[in-house]
Amino acid sequence: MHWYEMKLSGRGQTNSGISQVCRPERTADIAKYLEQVGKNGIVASGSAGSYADQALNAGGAVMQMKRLDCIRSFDAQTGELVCEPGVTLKTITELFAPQGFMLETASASGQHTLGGAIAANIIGCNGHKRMSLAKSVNWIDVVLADGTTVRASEKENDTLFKAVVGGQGLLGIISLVSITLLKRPQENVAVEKRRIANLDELAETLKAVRKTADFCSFWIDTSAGLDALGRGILKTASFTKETLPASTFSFPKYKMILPGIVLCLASFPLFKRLRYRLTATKKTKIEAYENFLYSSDNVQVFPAKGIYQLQISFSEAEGPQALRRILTELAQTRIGACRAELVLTKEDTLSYLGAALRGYTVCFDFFRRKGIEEFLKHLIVIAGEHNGRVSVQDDALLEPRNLVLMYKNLEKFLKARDTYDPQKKFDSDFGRRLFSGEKKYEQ
Amino acid sequence: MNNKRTWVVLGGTCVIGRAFAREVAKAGNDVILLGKEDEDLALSANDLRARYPEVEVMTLPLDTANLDSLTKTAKQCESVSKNIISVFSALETVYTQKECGKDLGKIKNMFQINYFSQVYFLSAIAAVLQKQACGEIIVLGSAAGEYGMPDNYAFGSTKAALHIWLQGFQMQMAQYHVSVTTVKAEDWDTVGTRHYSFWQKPIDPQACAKACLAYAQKGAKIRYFPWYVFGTVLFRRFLPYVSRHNGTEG
Repeated sequence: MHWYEMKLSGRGQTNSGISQVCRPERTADIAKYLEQVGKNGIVASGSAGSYADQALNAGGAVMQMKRLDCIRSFDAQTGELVCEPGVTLKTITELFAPQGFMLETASASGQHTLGGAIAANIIGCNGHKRMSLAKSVNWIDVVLADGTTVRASEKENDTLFKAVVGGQGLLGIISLVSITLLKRPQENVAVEKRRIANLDELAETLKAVRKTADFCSFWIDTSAGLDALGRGILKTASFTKETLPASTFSFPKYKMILPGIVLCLASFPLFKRLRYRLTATKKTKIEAYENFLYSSDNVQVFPAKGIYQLQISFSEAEGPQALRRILTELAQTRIGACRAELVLTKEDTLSYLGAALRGYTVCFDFFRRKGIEEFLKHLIVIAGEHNGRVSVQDDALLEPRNLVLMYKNLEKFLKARDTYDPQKKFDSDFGRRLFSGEKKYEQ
Repeated sequence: MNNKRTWVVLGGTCVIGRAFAREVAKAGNDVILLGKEDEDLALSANDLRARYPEVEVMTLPLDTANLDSLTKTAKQCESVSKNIISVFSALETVYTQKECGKDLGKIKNMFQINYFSQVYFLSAIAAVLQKQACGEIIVLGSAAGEYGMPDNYAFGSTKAALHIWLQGFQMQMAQYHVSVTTVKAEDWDTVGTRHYSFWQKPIDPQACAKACLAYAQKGAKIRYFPWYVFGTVLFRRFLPYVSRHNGTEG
């Protein structure tokens, strides 16, 4: 059992810190490592895919879970998969998609570990059909601060379950997961791309899409002027019986590691306009389901200065006005987002810290630059005024007062944390930022 | 006999052993996992069976404390295998220099597992591979065996001894068309206190396993993983007094 001193940073490179790192290789080792934890506590880290400080613990300990990646069993009749938390979503898809199974959530990245995906309560581009991954979890084993392992599910220890799901690792460490994989209706999906001219057209189209498409995401052109707010490209996909075209030429898939300058280019208005103009008015193609998923994994960008991500959920009623207001702010201030995407969501009542509302979830990436923090805090205030929720999953700037206003189940989460980890052995930079009023864990 | 392999994986319960077993099982080869702990062996075997149901996975206990038993284990491997036998050895135990300073028995333990166990087992199974006149042997060495560092020179010495033995063993086995590949992996991941910088990342077991298999298929004799470790080794071996020590323990 070894500890390593490492400088860790979030995916967005905006937060970093030096921590003592351990990498258990057996679930039994988790409790042994927990015994050695010092005063700043410990947090579990999966693929470290969170943009900000969720998996960081400067001055404390971090448990990297990727080596706990054994599959315990798989029942091909029921689709029940029991595995350790370090198995990645991509691995599950690679192994079980050929057998006709799929995960509940079609997330943008397959690099997430299963434990991390549950602790962050990730949603995907099929959020309007099937909500978060946690819905398909049968049970999880959680190692608590005293080293005991407790099984939690919606029926058994439900308070713990609802607090751990989306709880960013602040209650315990997930050591084993039972999840039900869904039967995939068809092997291929028909992917359709079409241009949307403005917000009104978008709202109308999304109403129809919510009922018909299996997957849906909308790229927003944030460089559009006030007369074309909400312009962008809508990508929808549905399972189809159609077979792949025989003579399709496709470039071999390589993982491209690109410098931050590429993202810089992507945030230029000219690039966005070109992307919008060059997309055909309406285009459909058939793709294998496995190829359709995890599109963002093929490109990895290292931004030199860092990226902030802001993910906000709005209700169906408030969404269009809120989106219009945010896009107006972007157009007037000319602050270009290097990525802006919208997905449809349905309410997730399972997790205490779940952000999604039935409506829309919009996600923006911004380069770190002078004054951006103030601007993002301003957007958070706008979100609050429209009864929106800023997701804690990748956020770096949310403050405790925002959290109190946005999360109606926050009290329940804090109570569960006090019950299961009164000494705050599980802590992180994220935990200290948002729950700093609480007593720190002392050895 | 077809071209399908039965890979004997020593240290089949450690992370790199598991990663390698998955790589070869993915390619459709059968696997025999050798390890000390029955529970861990069963866990690794179940994992492989769940991932690749068509692959035959067997487990055998490996008693590194009793070197004479390794000959028997090698014979058992031969008897249960239906295909060409190949071997991957990731047998390794690691203690920091500080731990060794407190208890010299740990050095003996490291030599027992990192050197003697592998030498005994490989010598025993060599006859089988010579008989089949083909196959691959991959042994996971370490860059720590290339130069002494203040925080892990005891561990490094066990690997250095193994490297030398493997060099001769490789030449001997080449006469029988059996390739022996030593993969000297970066040791940041294994022992001692390291101050990682942003550009230093611990090695990825899956990537290392993939590379090991690729090296063996090319018939490579010695490879460093990641490849740039070669540069570090060159620098430290030939300019030992100029190079900066990055270890922190004395």
